[in-house]
Amino acid sequence: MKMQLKILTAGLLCAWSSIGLAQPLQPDPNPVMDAYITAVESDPAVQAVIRQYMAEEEDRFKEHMEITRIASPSRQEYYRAIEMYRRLKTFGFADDELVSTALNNSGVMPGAAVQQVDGLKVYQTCAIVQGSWSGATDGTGGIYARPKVVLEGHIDTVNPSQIPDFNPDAKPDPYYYEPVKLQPYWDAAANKATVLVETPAELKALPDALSFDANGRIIDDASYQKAVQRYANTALANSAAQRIYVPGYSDAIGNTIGVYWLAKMFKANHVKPVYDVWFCFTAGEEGRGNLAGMKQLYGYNQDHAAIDPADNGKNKLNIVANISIDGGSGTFNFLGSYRYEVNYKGGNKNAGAREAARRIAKIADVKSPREEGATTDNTTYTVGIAYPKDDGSTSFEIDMRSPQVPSLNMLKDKLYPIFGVGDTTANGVKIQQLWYGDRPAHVHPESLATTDPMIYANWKIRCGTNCGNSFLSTSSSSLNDNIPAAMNIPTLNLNLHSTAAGGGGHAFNEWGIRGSLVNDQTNVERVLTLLLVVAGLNDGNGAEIVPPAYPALAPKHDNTVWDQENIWTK
Amino acid sequence: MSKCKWLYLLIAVASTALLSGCFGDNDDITAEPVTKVDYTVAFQGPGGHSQGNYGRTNALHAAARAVVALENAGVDFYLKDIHGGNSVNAIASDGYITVGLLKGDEAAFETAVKAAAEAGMNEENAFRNVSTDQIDNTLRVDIRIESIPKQCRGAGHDSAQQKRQVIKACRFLWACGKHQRPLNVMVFNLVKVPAEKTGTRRRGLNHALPMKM
Repeated sequence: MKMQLKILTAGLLCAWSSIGLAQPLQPDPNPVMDAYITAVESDPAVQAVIRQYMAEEEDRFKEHMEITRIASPSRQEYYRAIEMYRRLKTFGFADDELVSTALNNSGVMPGAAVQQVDGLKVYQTCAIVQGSWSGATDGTGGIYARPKVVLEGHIDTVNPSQIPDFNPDAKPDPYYYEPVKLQPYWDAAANKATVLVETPAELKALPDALSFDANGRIIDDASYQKAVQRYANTALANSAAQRIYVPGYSDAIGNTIGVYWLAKMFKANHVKPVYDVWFCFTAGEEGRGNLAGMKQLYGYNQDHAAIDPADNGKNKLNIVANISIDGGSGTFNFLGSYRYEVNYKGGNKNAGAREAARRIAKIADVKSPREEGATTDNTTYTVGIAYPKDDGSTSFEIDMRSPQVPSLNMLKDKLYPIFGVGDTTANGVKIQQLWYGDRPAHVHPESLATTDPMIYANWKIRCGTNCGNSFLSTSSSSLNDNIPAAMNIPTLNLNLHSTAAGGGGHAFNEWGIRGSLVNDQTNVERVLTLLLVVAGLNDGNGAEIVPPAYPALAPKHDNTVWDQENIWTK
Repeated sequence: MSKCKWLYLLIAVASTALLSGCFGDNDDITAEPVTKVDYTVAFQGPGGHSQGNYGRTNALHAAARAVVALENAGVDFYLKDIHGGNSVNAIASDGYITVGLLKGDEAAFETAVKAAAEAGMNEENAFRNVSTDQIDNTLRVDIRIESIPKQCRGAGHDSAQQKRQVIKACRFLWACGKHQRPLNVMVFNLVKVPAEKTGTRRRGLNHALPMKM
């Protein structure tokens, strides 16, 4: 069976139109794509993957806990990255099917146009499942130049915020671990949920915890048996459910472990896509991580983009589509954000601190462009953190956001001059911009959202035969997808994680309770089907289901686009 | 304890011992002058996500406003530290300034610091249009007012990072309330501390809502 669709391509490279939406959006009917989705869903290999993925749900939970407890602050993800590399090898991935920038602490992603971000090494790991596509049309062949689809989850976690004396060269082992604490969810005597722990001391004082052996594997004891139980979110009252406290439980290892397990399932079930699929475990999604992992993978150069947004990078790895797994439901608009660290250094602490305080006070009086009526975009800002540094200077960090670049630039134009960078008259204080973080904004034009094959496929997979009142969400989020979206590479954000309850995201007391198996199955069916719609599949009869779209959209490493007339020529 | 609508201000009884210090060379940025007395003012607000909760008061913004207010009052002070917040993409739920009196009357300095702190708080509340209706007095009592324990000042640690780690751990014992703070209300407390080389703190309370970065 060979199915080909000539689905919109050129339009995606056009300039965006307004974000304003007067009517709910619904994709145009696409019976060809419907048939394609059905073919993937009914494929025996796909069904085998789902069966095994679900059958191994407890093993998945064990590794979820084992990997989550490894401390992995943004830009210090070395330990999780190397551990995932080691574990992927046990799944049968050969050396040439794995890429880890943590290996030998190199930080190098072969073939990528960007290596270091913010002057730091990038730590991430990818597992490669090679497809049947014969090679890159530019003739370079090679595993790095072949067209590929990325399915990724990030491996950095907000807490702890740093690893003491982080230096993988000097200390490649042992890892730094966070405890995995348990707390009963229900207080039967009080007939209500127990009070969440509110301080690290309270968390430390919880008596119950998961245990691990010397190899980092979970021990199946009484605590484990309590933690492994699943609950429907409506069945927590009067239950024996346990809150599982560990930073990264949901954000994002709960999702990332799903990507990891799908890699295992592809290997175990000999799934053969058409385009290569890279299962990636990426760095730097959180806070000052600056989307470092995605910038390396996609070759996004923020310094170029700051000068000319159209000159933002070189997709030398020829990634034709991206699926990020971080809790979305098909998110395709991505909130832009500029972030800065500005530093004030005077002749003494007082001078730098006072100049920083004066600047923050001025910033505090700024009304955003939306507050002034200059735009309808939701423009926001905050001085999120200020701190003294060892050299006696004072820094603050500021975040500015908007769904679209023009209004984001309006906000920057109001705020940046207040920083005083380069101001030589600032009371003898040297003012420097020490860091710039760029999460580029992206808004999908309405006309393309309704005809985009990937958006359509996700929408159809989710609504099935009851799509009449199912509309596209145009909400905007700030995610890893910001990078491929900014480079016009199709991307959607989806979810593989299920919880009965959870909270404390980005905090020391992040917690969750395992959710229902039904939700797990629904999630994996959606993600797997979409992945194979995009990447193509050699079906159970040995025939090739050619991916319906997308190679024409991805810039080649010389920044030209694929020849659409030839992309199906093999 | 003040019962005014917009302000919650307490001065903790604390040691007022003046500790020795020395003036260093002007090029030595780590040298600090002798101050007669230091005050640390702690501002606390609702916190939140930078985009999802935009419009809430920002404790760090209020702290900076207070510094400017103190400057405008003509007080001869030394700003030892301004810090607060937890992450670049969060509305800071806490903000701290430590100010030392270089010369002049201590009582007048205390009054000026209180007035500046009130001004910073009021300006931030006003800018974000916080109304008195949004203030829940019953939640005010959850702020613990104590002097900063000596072991929490980072004394004996060489680097700012080490001090921050020590003080971060203590922070939860010192300043964390048991209850959620009222939305859009800025609360601060004023703590008098010995005029020694006060430790610095970097990371504060975690930002309040679990939202994407």
